[in-house]
Order: sequence, then structure tokens, then C-alpha cells
Amino acid sequence: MEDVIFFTIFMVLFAAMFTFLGYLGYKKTKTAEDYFVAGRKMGAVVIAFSYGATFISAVALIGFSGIASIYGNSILWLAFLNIFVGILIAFIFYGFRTRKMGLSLKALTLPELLGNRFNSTRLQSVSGLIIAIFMVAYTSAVFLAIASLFQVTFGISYELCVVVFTVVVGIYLIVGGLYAVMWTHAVQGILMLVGMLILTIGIYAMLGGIGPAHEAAAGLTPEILESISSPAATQAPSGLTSMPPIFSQPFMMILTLIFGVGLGVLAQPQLITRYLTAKNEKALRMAIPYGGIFILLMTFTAFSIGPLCNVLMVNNGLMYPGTPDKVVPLIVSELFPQWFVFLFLFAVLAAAMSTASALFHTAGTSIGRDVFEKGVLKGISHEKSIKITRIATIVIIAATLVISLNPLDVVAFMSAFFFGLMANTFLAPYTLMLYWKKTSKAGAWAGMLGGFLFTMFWYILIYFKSAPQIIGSSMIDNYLINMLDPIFIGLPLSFLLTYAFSVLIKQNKDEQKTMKKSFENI
Amino acid sequence: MILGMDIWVFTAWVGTILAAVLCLFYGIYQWYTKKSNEKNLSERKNDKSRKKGVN
Repeated sequence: MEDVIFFTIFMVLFAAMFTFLGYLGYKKTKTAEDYFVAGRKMGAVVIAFSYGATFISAVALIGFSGIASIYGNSILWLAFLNIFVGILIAFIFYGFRTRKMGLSLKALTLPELLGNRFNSTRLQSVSGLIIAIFMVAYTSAVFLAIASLFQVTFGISYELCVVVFTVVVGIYLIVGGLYAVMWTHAVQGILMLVGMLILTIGIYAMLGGIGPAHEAAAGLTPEILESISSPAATQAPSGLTSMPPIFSQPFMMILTLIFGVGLGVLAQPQLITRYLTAKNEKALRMAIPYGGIFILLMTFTAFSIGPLCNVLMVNNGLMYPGTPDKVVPLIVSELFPQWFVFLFLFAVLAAAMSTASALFHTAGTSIGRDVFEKGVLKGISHEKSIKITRIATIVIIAATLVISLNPLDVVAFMSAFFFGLMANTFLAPYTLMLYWKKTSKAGAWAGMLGGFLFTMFWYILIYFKSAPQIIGSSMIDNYLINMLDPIFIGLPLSFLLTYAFSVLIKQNKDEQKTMKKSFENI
Repeated sequence: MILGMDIWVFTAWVGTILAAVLCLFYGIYQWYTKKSNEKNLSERKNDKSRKKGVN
């Protein structure tokens, strides 16, 4: 009962603070540009925290550290890619150009950037529709994870948790637009930083420091791991602090995770929006160090402590919980003081809320602006544009709520592969439109649809996790192929299609005109 | 084994920290470049105004 009272007090404080930020956002939101890209007035720190908090969800914090407890520290390669590709390459090679092209083409979303660059509202509407459909599923999975965690910890009904979280996020997002979303991200990011820092320092301190902690993890034999029922006994055959044998099943699993998420980050519409919010190029450049440190303190810590949880379970006579998602919550609830249990839960809640608000915003703008405003109702005023997007966002939130309250297997499937799907669909046309002036509308269509259809085909018929759930078993028995993330084939295919169709069907005069306009500031 | 990790895991461990340090150096470099550019600009402005004053 005491726990529920604490939860209620914290939740009310949380909701009040975010609603206040939503109100401030509402006061500042006058134009469509304000609502969609925070008036293009954001500074380095807010961009970095918002990018990081959008990127790192609750799934990344507790889900991936749970995965690290099974496969060991080799998953740290993903932390490396998260910073090297997710921050350095993303900002330097994509961020600056995206911002400049967005300004030249007056684009406020990724689909609008594609549509304006290739002079095609249909391209914008179809991209918006793909993003919105898969984002609803992804967002409901984020709520599903966090509501389950709170249900287990506080014993509050799952349905009540889902409704409370969705309503809180929905209010400040609809009222305050992207201003409110980005300001709340800064607050949520700080909470996530504090939570992960204390958790990591606490775990390393319990195990005697970095070297002794890793040595203790390396010393866990399969027999010891078996005694606590840890899946690491079979899934980390070379030990928790060593890479698994090349081309073994655990190796393929890690390879898939590392590249699927590590490269997929470059084409996430909700992250690309952050580039468009920068007040100038300097803000984007200065966001790089803040972003790098933020991701270091999030994924590097989460992936480092995962395997160490096995040592703590062995030392404290705890059994491995049923699923990897419960590993870190178990360690926190059993070995940390009560005040930190609350802090950690709210840090994870902050991670879930920040990702969900960014996804709601992107999905809402995809349906409101990209599908309806540009595809159906053309040439409407700024005020109407915001109103339509607000209504679309309410519809998206309602759809997410319905799906979260009635979770289907297909939701988990769609959300787990969101990163890969977005990368295979958008990365090739997005990259080539930024760097290759001859990219044509036909090339963009071919790369986008080719990448999308191939990814769906791979997940439905081949991929070892999804194909058995959908068609009973994978069409290819060899695990070296069916464990491969579609990004390995889908991404090169999408690039090839974009290039080949751009060469075969060249730009017409209208496309050439918009191409020249889009490169004006570059 | 280095710090209890095999060479590949250790490379990833160090690589992650180095990538973050690289981000930090990028920021420091940008900050100094901006500072020196601003300094050069203000010096040029001062030179111009001094020349105008002499003429």
C-alpha cells in the first residue's frame, strides 16, 4: 500500500511538471513550424538530450541489459556503434545536410523532405503512412514493457498503468507540440542519466571495481550459470566476457542485433526530426559531444552491467528470472535500497515516456501533415495544419491505447523490427538524395518500396524469430541465413534499386528544378 | 584477458569510450575554432575602424 501511495505522489508530480512544460510549449506554439520542429530554435543541449532520450527507450535500458546477461559483454559492439554511427556519423554526415536541405525545401518531416526533394506528394503520403502504421505498434510495445514493469513492482493493474502513462504523454504532447516534447526530454534525460549512473556504480562497487567484476563474470562456468537457470550457460559458450565462436548461433544473434540496431539508427524518422529543430549548424555541431556522453552513460553502462547481474545472482542466491527483461529490475529490487528502486523505476518510465512522446509526435505528423494535409486536403492555413495534426495525434494515441490494452503477437513482431524496417525502407533514398544530385523520383520509389517489401518478405518467410510465429517455420533451415538481419541484404538492395532506377529513369524538368533548390545552401 | 575481457570484447569496451572521447574532442575543437574565428573577426573589425579613424 505504501508503494502505491509513493507511486501516486511521484506520478502526480511527474504529470504536473510535464503538463506545465506542455503549457509553456502551447504558449510558444504559433505556427506549424513551431508545432512540428519547435520553431527551428533549439540549442545544442536540448537537441542532444532529446535525440538521446528518443533513441534510448526503456527497451534499450532494461531489455538490452537483459540480453547482455544472456550473450555477455560482446554486445558492447552495439554500444560502440550507438556512439560512432548513432552520433558521430549521424550528425556529421546526415544532420547538417538534412537541416540545410530541410530549410531550402521548407520541409518539417522526413516524408515531406522526400516529397519536396522529388516533387511528389504521393511519395510523401506513402512514406508517412508506412511510418505511422509501424510506429503505433512500436509505441504500444514501449508502453507494454513499462506497464508490465510497474504492474510487477507496485501491483497496480496493467490497464490502469497503460491508461495513466498514455494520457500523461498525450496531454503534454498535444498541447505543447515539439517544444513540450523536447523540453520534457531534457528533464527525462537527466533522470535517466542519474538512474543509470547510480545503478552502474552500485553494481561495480558491489563486485569490487571494473577488473574484479569482469573477472568474476569471466569465471562463471556453464555449471555455475546452470545452477541459477541462466540461459548464458548455453548462449555464452566462450564465457560472459568473451566473443562467442565465429558463426555460432550466439555469434549470429549478436551480429544481427549489432547491425540491425546499430545501422538502423541512421534512418529513424523520429531522430531525423531532431536535426530539423536546430537553430543553426553550430547547435548541431555542439550537440555531438553532449550526445556522445549521453549515449555512453546509457548503452555502455546498460550493456556492461547485464552480464554482471549473473555474478550478483550467484553471489546472493537468486535465481535467473523467467525472461531477460526482468533481470535488472530483479537486481535493483533485491540488492538496492528502496529509494533507489523508485528512482530507477522513474528513470525507466522517463525513458519510455520520452521515446513514446517522440513516436506519437512523429506518427501524428505523418498522418496529419504527410497523409491528410499534403495528400488529401491541399493548401490549408497554418492554424488548420496544426489542428489537423493535433486530431491525427489524438487518433494515433487512441489507437496505441487500444492496441496496448489488447496486445497481439503481431505488435511485438512489428515493434521489434521497427529499426531495421525503417532503415531498409528509407536509408538508401534518404542518403542518396542528400549526396547524389542525380537521384530521381523513380529511384526513390524503387529504393523505398524495394527495401520495404524485401524486409517484410524476410520477416514473414525467413527470419528465425518471426517466420515460425507467422507461417509455422522458416523457409530456410540454415541458421547462418535465417538468423541474418534483413539489413544485410535489404539495405544494399535498396541502394542498388535507388541507383539503378535513377540511372534508368532520369529526373524530369520539374525534379531538376527542385533538386537545384534543395542544394542551394549545401 | 585484459581487465577480465578477451581481446574482442576489450576492443569494443575501449572503442566505445574512445568514440565518446572523439565526440568530446569534436565539440572542444568546434568551440575553439568558433572562438578563434570570432577573435579574428573582431580583430579585423577593430583594424578596419582604426584605419577609418586614421584616414
